[in-house]
Amino acid sequence: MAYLQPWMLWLLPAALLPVIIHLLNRLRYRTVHWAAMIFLLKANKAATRRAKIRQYILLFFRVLVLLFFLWAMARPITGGWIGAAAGGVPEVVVVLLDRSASMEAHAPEQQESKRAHAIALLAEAAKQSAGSRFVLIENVLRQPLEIADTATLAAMQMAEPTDTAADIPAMLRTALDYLTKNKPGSAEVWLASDLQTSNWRPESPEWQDIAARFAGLPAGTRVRILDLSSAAGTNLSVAVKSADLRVRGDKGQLVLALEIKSSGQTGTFPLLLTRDGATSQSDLAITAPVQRRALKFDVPKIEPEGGWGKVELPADDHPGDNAAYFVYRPPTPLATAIVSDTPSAPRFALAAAPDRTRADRTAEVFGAARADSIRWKETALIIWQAPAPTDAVSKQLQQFVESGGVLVCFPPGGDGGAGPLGIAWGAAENARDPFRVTAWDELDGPFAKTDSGASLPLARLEIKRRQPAHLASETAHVFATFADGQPFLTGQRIGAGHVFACATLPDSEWSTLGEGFVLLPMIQRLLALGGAHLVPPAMASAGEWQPSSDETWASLETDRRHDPRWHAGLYQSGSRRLALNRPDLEDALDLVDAKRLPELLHDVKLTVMTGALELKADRLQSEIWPAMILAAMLFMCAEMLLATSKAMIPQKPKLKAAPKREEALV
Amino acid sequence: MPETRNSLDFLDQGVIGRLSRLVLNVRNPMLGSVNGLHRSATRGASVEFAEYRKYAPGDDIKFLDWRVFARTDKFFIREFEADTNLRCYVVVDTSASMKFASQPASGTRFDYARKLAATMAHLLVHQGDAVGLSCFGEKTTDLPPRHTPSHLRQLYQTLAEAQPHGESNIVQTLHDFAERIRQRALVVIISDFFTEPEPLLECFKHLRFYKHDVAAFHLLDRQEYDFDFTRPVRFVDMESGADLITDPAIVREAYQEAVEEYLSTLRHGCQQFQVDYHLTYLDQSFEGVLTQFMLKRIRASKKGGR
Repeated sequence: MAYLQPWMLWLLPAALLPVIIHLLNRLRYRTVHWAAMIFLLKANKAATRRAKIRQYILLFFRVLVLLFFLWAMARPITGGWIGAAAGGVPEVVVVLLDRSASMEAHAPEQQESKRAHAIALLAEAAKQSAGSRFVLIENVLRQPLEIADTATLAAMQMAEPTDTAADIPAMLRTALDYLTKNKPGSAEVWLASDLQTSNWRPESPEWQDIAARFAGLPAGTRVRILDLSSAAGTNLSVAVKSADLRVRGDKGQLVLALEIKSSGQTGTFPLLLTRDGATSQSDLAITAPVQRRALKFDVPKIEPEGGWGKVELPADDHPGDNAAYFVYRPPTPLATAIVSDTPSAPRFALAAAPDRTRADRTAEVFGAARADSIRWKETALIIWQAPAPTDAVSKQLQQFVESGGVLVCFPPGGDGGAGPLGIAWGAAENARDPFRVTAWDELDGPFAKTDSGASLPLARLEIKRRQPAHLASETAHVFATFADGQPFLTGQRIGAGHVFACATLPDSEWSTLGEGFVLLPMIQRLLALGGAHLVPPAMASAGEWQPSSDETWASLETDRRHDPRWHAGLYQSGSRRLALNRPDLEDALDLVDAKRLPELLHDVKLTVMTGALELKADRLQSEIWPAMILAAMLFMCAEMLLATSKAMIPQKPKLKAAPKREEALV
Repeated sequence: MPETRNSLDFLDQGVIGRLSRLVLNVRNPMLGSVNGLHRSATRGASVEFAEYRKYAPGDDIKFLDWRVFARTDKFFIREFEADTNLRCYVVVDTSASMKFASQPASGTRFDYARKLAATMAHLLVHQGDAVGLSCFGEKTTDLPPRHTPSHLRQLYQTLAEAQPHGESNIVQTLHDFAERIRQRALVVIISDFFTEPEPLLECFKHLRFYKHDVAAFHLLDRQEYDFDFTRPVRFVDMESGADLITDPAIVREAYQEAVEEYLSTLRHGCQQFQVDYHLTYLDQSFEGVLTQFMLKRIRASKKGGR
């Protein structure tokens, strides 16, 4: 039992006041000269035991009345049947269930997943709130679903494990919408979550709005958070970052880029690989918390529909992240449009389509005046090295990027000015000593390490002239910087596509970028990024990708549950194959500190059950002061009945009352 | 000099005037010395026929019933009832417990007893009966029965001077009293009777053995029955000075049970020994109590033929 106002407990000794008053009264007797001592002595010796017991019971009740009043003022909260019975039953209970992939982890010494434990706790608590209507909102569909029988919660499809991510603010907004629309007399929101930071997004400004909306609900709407966060046990997770099929004539090579995260343990672990139905095992050396590994496999015969597979790690405390799925297929032809009137244009074209014998990479140079003739829908990448476009072209560029294309801009030269899509060019600068790129993002983006783990040689670039660009958006990400902090390559996401700005040109007057050791991989990676929107994805995140209503997807596996809406796995619809994996964010181990929850939901009546994983199902907490007040009142009534009972008040003579004065008069 | 209660304020002339129209009867034949209002245990010269008895030598032949002789040829003497006066002893308890009064303004138990005794004495003397007084407390004061007005004044004076004080032994006092007065009399005992009922009833039995008409006025204060105290009280015995601290709420029930049991025993004992028992609460009018007492006796004498 915990207390919301524990300092009131210091007043508990005041419950002994009736005893003290009783003792003081005994000391403050008055003296009466009495004639009928014969009866008094008899009475004092005789059967006074019962009367004394009644007197003590009376005192006991008085002490209990005060005790329960003071106890209630300390606002105790407790769980189990006491909490449920005493805390009052809300009309509606909205249960928010986080069934994201991370909820399938379990505490080191438990076999039950966090989700299953949460369901057991919620179902038990629901039993104690008989009479309430229960509405389930889970993280995938976020549709309020009324539950007729809470005992079936564990068996419901809407409570099954998923490989999705959760958006806790969105779930709370859905709950608020439901409560605002239905206007129940009293309501509670029960939220079970592992407090994963990526799901809670505590820095989001949405929380202000959510807290304000809760404050606008009928008084007494309480939020109970079942904190299922726990210290990380042993866990290895694997994710397939890409599965590229590189074609060499009739043969191909499959390159799998794996990302393995470890919760701290190192050593060699077996990695099970299944490719096109054939399973093999290899050893995986874990040396760092996060490491990438590229696996290469020869593909003797390239099928038009490609192939599929999965990688698996041994079982650990989080079984949900031990497998990752992939689908590979022959590369799709990707076209690059180069808008430039400078000598750099051929170098761009060479970087975009280095092998003219291959038809899967094409590059076409457009003059700045012909920019409107770009085949927007067939182009994956646009390289813009020209002054700011006209309004019409600018609008088309905007549409191109928003639909998933990639635009990379290079310096137009001169004193700077506005570029396409909000890019602001600074003035060009020359350096006596070459500018050097000293820092770049090796984990993600165009300068990520190669499949073999080698870094791109950006440090070797000698840049004599530069023209840094700045993006207006706060979400802009700098992928590489010069030694003085100026951006070398910066980019941002717009819609489904991306915009990048590079600070130098592949021109000998500007830099050695034209030598290709950086430009080629950079352009190729941007081209692959832009090409993703031209063809349906082969790999996607569970929950984020949703099948359209006219498609029927069947699983390629038969040994696990499959629902393309929320389960990771391999699926096929006609000739199209799709690998669904849990979202990358689910592998992030960062947790929101439970102490921050009252800040997020400030002014909301909040109960956080920290360490819920260690709780038994009957420990959900409730405030029980109303029951305490009721008990105090009952004791007061009992005290009153006892105090006014026959034994406690003077009785009139029973057998032969003395004659009344009137009767005696004659 | 302390104010002696010589003022005779316990005499209420209005009450005496109203009650003097009634006669205070006895329930048993008396053995008086002079002619009076009460039936005598011997035969006398009244006009009321009593019985026939066989002639014995020495009997006055004027009482022979010649008509009976003519019919039966046997001598029978006609006898008539005798009327005599009454001897009454008023026994008043003057122990310290008689000082008790829950409402001091209404007077103490002894004040009440004094009113009863004085009024009764006045009525008896004025109907020609002899009245004596015995006040018993720490010491006993006796006045022999007389029927003269001067004796009545002396009796008033004794009552006025009496003060409740000290302890009393009512049982021993009544036994001694019974042995001291052998001639039939009306014995009126006015007391709180705070003693064990069985020895007390033995006293009544002793008095009844000598064919006294015994009347007992049991004076109780209403508070002594109700015991309506609310806070802890230190009770000090008015006679012995012993004290007891107790919580009335705790002992009330047992106290009232003890009082009930005591009263019940006393009532049944008095009934058994034909003692005219009157439980009297101090908040009752003493005039009403006396009226009931006298009327009850008048009704009893009418049923008995007189």
